[in-house]
Amino acid sequence: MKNVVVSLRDIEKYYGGKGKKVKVLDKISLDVCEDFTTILGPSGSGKTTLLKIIAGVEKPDSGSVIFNKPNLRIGFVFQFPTLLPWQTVLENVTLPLRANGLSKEEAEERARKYLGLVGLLEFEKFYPHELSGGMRQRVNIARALAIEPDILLLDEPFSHLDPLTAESLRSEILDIWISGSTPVRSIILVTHNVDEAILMSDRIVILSPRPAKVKKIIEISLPRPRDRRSKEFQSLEDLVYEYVS
Amino acid sequence: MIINIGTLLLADALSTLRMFIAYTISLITALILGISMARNRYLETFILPILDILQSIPILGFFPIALVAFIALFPRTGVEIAVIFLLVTSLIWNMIFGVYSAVKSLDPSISDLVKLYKIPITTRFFRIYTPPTTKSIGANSIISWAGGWFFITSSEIIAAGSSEYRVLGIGTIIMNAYTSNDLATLVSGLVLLIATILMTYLILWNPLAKDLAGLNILSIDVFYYRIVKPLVIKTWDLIASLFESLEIKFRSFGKRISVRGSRILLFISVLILIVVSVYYVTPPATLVTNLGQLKPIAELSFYYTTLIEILLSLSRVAGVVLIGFLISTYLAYLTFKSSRGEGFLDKYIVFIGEILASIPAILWWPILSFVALKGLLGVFIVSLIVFLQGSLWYTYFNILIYGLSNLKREYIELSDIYNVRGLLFIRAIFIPSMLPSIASGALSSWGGAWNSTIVAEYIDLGVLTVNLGGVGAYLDTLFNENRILELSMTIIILSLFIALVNKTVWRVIFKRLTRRYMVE
Repeated sequence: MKNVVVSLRDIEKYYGGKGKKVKVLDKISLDVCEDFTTILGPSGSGKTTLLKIIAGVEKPDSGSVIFNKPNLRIGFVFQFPTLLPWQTVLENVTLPLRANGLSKEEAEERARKYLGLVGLLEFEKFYPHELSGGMRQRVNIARALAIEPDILLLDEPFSHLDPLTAESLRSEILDIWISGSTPVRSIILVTHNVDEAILMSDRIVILSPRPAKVKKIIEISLPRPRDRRSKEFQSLEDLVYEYVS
Repeated sequence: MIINIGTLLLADALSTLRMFIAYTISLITALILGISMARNRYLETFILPILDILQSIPILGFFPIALVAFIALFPRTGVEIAVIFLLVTSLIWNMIFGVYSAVKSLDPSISDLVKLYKIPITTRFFRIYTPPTTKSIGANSIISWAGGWFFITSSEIIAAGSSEYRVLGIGTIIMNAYTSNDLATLVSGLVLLIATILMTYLILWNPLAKDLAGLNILSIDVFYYRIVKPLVIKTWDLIASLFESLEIKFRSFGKRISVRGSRILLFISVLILIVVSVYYVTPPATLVTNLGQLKPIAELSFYYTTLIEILLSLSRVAGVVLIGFLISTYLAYLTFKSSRGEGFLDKYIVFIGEILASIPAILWWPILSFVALKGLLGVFIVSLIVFLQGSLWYTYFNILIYGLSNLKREYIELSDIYNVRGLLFIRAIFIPSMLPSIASGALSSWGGAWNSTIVAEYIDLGVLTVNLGGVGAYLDTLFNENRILELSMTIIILSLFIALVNKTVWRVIFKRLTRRYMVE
């Protein structure tokens, strides 16, 4: 068993207010290790909520999130790029770094390193509206990597991109992950795309429809790079679909 | 003598009615002018500086001119029209700039869409450009409403030379009671006025602002949701459909002249606006009597003095706008923080502002004279308060209502995740998010501050008159000494100066607004 990085214990979350309460998460317990975990579930099942609870942006109504060491750094890749339109690409990436006390020079140096990693070095002076959708999402990824996180949270980062861009970004993230060029120890990806889950992750956590419970955990030990047309891949896909549908 | 309660209530109702009429006129004008300016470069070039001049020139003191014109035109209803006109001048400017700034900061893909699908002008106006301005209109209505009530005591009685005109209204009753030392009437009038102001806020404007901006503001909601909102939406839709069908008919009929026709129409309307504003700023009556002696003032020293006074006022105006911006932003930040925690500031801050902004001038004087008589520092404090009263509220409500409602949830989440806090948060996320509201608030605040110079730089407390210098005090002196020629000249120079600043500083600020806001 690999080292556990974060443990979720009996996480419950409700939405709505007076008289219209909906249970979204139902006693979710999960150990996330130093690997690539994918949380797979139908849309509206509370996957993003779970991710935001791990990130600490939302509070669970009950249950706890336990990190194996204090002050873990978390990078978050938003579903939509969420770039500030009034800041350049470089400024957008340096913002979290400045917030963490880096000087302007240090922050810029670091930002450039990760902008280079996602292939956007020459666009640092551009404003978000001058970039394509895929490029904006790359900035979003660079921003998350630049804080050199222990855990990288990916919230359906490819779902709003065209298939070609999505595919190349998937392999870029895998390359970055496998090459070990960042200190990221653990990646949690949220998606409703079965193919993507099998292609990328070491472990798939399948959630049931609302209220979400952990329905099944499937370990994937296929060697990378994975071949979608291989028999093993296909049979895994069949297996996962059994639990999803 | 205690005034008849029926008369008092009638007077109050009449004043409220005048306020609603003035408000409606201001709203419609603001929508038409604001949207056209934001969408049309030519209109923007001409009208923006003219509006800036109109909002900045201290008009109140020179109002009789407009009155004379109205009475000459409409002998029977002239005074009533003049009073409403005066109210409009204290309501309208910030509403225009609010609409302008909201449309200006829209995603440019909207204008592509409009061009691509050749969306008719009336549909653009009613269904595309007006809806996104509602937050800004909500915030600016609150300010304008306060501004109107603040001036109600000075707008219902108009002195023009030796004659004095008045209309029945709560402002008139209060002023009469004040001058004749009728304490009972004065107190009951003021109580009724303040009660009216508070009620209109609680049942009308606050629910509106709350609804549009999604903020937690003290309010009573029933009347708004049951009656006002459905009524306004239905009426708007009805008028929109009417105009749209008219346009379709007109289109098939005059397709060929439309382009040239609209250019000509544009030219004529700009011309009218220029004529009206010249007429409005320069006294037509005195113009006629002085026509014979109207020659350029030859002494260079006059221009030198005027310029120095303008620069002195400029430094004060800039300082006051800056102070207003800092106060408003800081309060908005505290409100934002309290809205996320246990605080209660977010619920009351708007209401407190509304009370302070609309308390009639007459109630301020006893407090202010007390402070002013405490020595030189007291005089400066009074001057600052008077300046702020005329300008702070524009940034205050624009930022606290329109601005705070523009803070996007995802940017707040972003700051939470990456721990962006304190000054960095304010600088990198909070202020830029609110920029459209800051720009529109600051532009109105700037005009308000110039407008206040005649009361803030020349403080007349009866027992004590203090001249602090500056162009406002200079205008007062020229007016009191009846030096009409120099007075007109000074107003013209001041207008040119304001147009210059408008063309340089404000133009750049608003240009940035569009360039950086083109996304998401």
